[in-house]
Amino acid sequence: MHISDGVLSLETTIIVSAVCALALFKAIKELKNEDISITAVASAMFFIASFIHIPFGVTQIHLILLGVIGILISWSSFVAIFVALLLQALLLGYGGISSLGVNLFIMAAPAVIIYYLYNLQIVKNLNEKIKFFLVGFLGTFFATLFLTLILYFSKEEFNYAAFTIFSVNIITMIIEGIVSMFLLLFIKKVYPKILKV
Amino acid sequence: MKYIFLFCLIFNFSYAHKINLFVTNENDTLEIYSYFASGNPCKGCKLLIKNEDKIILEDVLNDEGKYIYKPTVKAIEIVVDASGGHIAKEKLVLANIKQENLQTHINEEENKKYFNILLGLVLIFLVFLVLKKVKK
Repeated sequence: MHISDGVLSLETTIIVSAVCALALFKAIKELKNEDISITAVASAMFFIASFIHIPFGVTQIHLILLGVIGILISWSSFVAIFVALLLQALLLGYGGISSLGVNLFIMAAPAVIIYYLYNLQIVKNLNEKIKFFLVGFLGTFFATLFLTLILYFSKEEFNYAAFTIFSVNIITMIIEGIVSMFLLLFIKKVYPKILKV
Repeated sequence: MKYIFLFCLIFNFSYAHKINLFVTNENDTLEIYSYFASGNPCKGCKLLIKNEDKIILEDVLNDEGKYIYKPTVKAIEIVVDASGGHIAKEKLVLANIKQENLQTHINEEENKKYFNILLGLVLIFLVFLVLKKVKK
């Protein structure tokens, strides 16, 4: 999901980064002191999740857990993911500095969307396991969708790659859904009050 | 449906990983190797070799993520593109490229990665600690 530096067109990078800067400003401004600890935990969780590779068939996948982060900290996802992405870029070369804004949008916007979807009455009425599965599934779905759209509209040469990426990431969505379901069931069992419902 | 599933199994998630580039010089021949963070080789990834922004070679890496190149210029830029926004590039002066063992390089990179993960976690803690003090 991490786009490297110099891949996207300058226009796309500037526009998406500007939108993201506004969202990040809003998130920092609205971040309450008592929510900082859970935001730090979510940031660490996102930072680490990218390095957990799960063997699957002949390949491996890595988690991003955007849906889980979204329902735990809503708009603060922008702060948590920003810090994690910045450190991933600086320390480990994941993504890049000039593409930081775009990567932040691809990862944090889905987390916020999931937060709002999760609080819809129709979703609240769903079976708990299905609801938690959808949290993980849709988090990755929206991230892949944004990645695909950004690549598609950035350069013509990415048109084919954009569609391929979307189709091949369907498995990631399913795995994220299953992992998120078990993770959220566990959180609900041991520490239910952090689930914002 | 089963073909889509097989396609996903084979090609999936290579897009999701950071790619690394390793170049070693053996008797004036460059061995270029590119691999994902998971350790899997960058099979069939697009390779560009440039000299002063001019493309002098355009090809793909083999099934081991390798390419053997006999350079004709003194300084080159190597770009490996795994598509989907994942690129590794490095500018090199040929005289400075030493002969190095690939496995030693991978082990060193792996150790460095674990150290940086720990450092990252400490920095996350410090960033939010400062934020907590500021927000107080």
